[in-house]
Amino acid sequence: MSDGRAAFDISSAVLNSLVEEVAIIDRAGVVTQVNEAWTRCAGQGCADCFPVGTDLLSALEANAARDPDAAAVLAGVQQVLQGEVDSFEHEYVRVQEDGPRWFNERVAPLRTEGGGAVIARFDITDRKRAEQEREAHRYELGRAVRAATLGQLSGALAHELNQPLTAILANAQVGAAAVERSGASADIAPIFADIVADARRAGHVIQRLRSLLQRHEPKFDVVDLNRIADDALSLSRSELLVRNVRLMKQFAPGVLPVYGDAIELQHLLLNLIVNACEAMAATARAERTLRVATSTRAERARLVIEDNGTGIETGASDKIFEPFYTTKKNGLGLGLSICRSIVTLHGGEIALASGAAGTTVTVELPTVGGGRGTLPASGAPSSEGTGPAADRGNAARG
Amino acid sequence: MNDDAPLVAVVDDEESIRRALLRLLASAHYRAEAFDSAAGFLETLSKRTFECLILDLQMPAMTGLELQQRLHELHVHLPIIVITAYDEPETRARCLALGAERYFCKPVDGHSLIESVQELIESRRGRDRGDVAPPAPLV
Repeated sequence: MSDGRAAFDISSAVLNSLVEEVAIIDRAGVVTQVNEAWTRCAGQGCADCFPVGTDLLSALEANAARDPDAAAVLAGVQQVLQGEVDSFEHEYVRVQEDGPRWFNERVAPLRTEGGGAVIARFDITDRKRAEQEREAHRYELGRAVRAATLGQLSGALAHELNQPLTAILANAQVGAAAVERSGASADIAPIFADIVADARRAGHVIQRLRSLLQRHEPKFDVVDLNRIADDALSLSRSELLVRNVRLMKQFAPGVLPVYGDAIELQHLLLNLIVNACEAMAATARAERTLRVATSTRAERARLVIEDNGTGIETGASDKIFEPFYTTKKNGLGLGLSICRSIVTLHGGEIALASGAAGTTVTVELPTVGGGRGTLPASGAPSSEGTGPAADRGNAARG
Repeated sequence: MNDDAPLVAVVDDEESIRRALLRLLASAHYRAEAFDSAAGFLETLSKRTFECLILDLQMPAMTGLELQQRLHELHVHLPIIVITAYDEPETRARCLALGAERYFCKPVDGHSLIESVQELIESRRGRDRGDVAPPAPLV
C-alpha cells in the first residue's frame, strides 16, 4: 500500500513538474486527473482546460460546431481511445488578452489496464512567432531582390519608353511650330499642344517611377511636402481611377519646406494612399473619398490622409505601427511599421485615428524656416524630373 | 534652306528620333545630317564641317561615350549635346568630363534643345572670332 501511495505521489509530482498542461482521461473520456499547469491555465479562464470530472468528449462535442479545432481534437481523442491511432497531434491558435497564442495538443493512449488517454498541451507561441519572423525576413529578402530586379528593369523600361517619347515630343513641337507659321486651322494647334503636354507628363512619370524603384541611399535636402504629395498622387492616379476613389486635395498654399529625403517621403505617401484606397474596398463606389491635406502649425508640417473606408477595430490602432501586426487578411503587417520608420527618420510623428467613418493618418514633420517661403536653389526634390521645368537636362548646363 | 546655316549632326541609332530631330532642326533653320552610328559620323567628319553634335549614348558597336573619347583623341573640338534615355549620375559625370557641354534626358524638350544648339554655336563662332570669353568650366 505504501509503495502504491509512493508511486502515486511520484506520478503526481512528475505531472506537476511539467510546464505543459497535462490531463488524464479514462476510456469513457472523463477527465480524471490534471496537473498544476492545467489547473492554473483553467483558472486564467482557458476554455480548453476542463476540470476533473468533465466528460471531455461531450464538452468537445458541444464546441465542435462553432470551433473546428475542438472538432479536430474530439476526433483525435476518440481515435486514440478506440485504439485506431497510436497518437494524435493538433496545433491551434487562441486569441487571448495579450494577443494570439498558439498551442500544440498531443493525445496518447494511457498504457494501463483501464485504458484512457493522456492529453498534453504545449504553448508554442514563441516558436510560431519566430517562424513568422523568419517568414517575414524571407519575404523582406524576396522583396529586396524583387526591388533590385525592378530597379534594373526600370532602367531598361525607362530607356524603351523614353526613346519613342523623344520622337513624339519633338515631332509634336515641330508640328505645333508648323501650324503656327502656316496659320492653319485653329483646331490643330491645341492638338499638338496636348500631345506635347502628354509626352512631357509621361516622361515625368517614367522618371519618378525610376527614382522610386532605384536603390538609393537616403539623401536629405530641403524638399517641398506639397510637391511630394502631388507627385505621389500623380503616381496613384490610376489606382484612384480603378478604385473609383474621389480625391479631395487640401494643400497649404505655396511651398511647404521640410528637411527630408524626397524618395523616402514619396514611399510614405504612396504607402498611406494605397492603404487608404484598400480600406475603402467595402465602401459604396460612389462614396469613396480620399482626403489628402497639408498644413503648417507651430513650425510643424502636417500631412493628413483620410479615407471613409472600413475603420480599424478598437484597440488595434495602438498596435498598428508595430512590425508584423496586420488587420489585413493577406497582410504581413510591415507597411505602417515602415511608414513609422520613415517618419521617425525625419524627426516626425505619425498617428492613426480610426472609427466607423473611416481612418485618418496624421504625419507631422519639422518644417524648415517656419514652413513658409521658397526653396533654396538646391532645394528642389532630389529626384530629377520632379522639377517644374519641362526639361530636366538643364541641370548639367556648362 | 540657307546654305550658310550652321550644320548640325545628329547621331542616334533610333530612326524615329533621327527623323524627328532633323525636322526640329530644320524648323529652327539649321542644316542637319543624321547618322545611325558613331562610325558613320566619324567617316563623314572629314567631308563636312559640323558646328554642333547631338549625340545619343546607348548605341550598338560604338557608344556615345566611346565616340566622345574618340573625338577627344582626334582633337576634334565640337560642341556636344548628349541626349540619353538612360540617365545615370556616373554617365552624366563621364560625359561632362569628356567635354560634352549639355546633357539632356530623353524625352528632351525641343525648345531647350534648339536653344542649346543656338547658344553653343554662337559661343563657338564668337570664340573663333575672339570676341567672346570661353564658356565657364563645367562642374
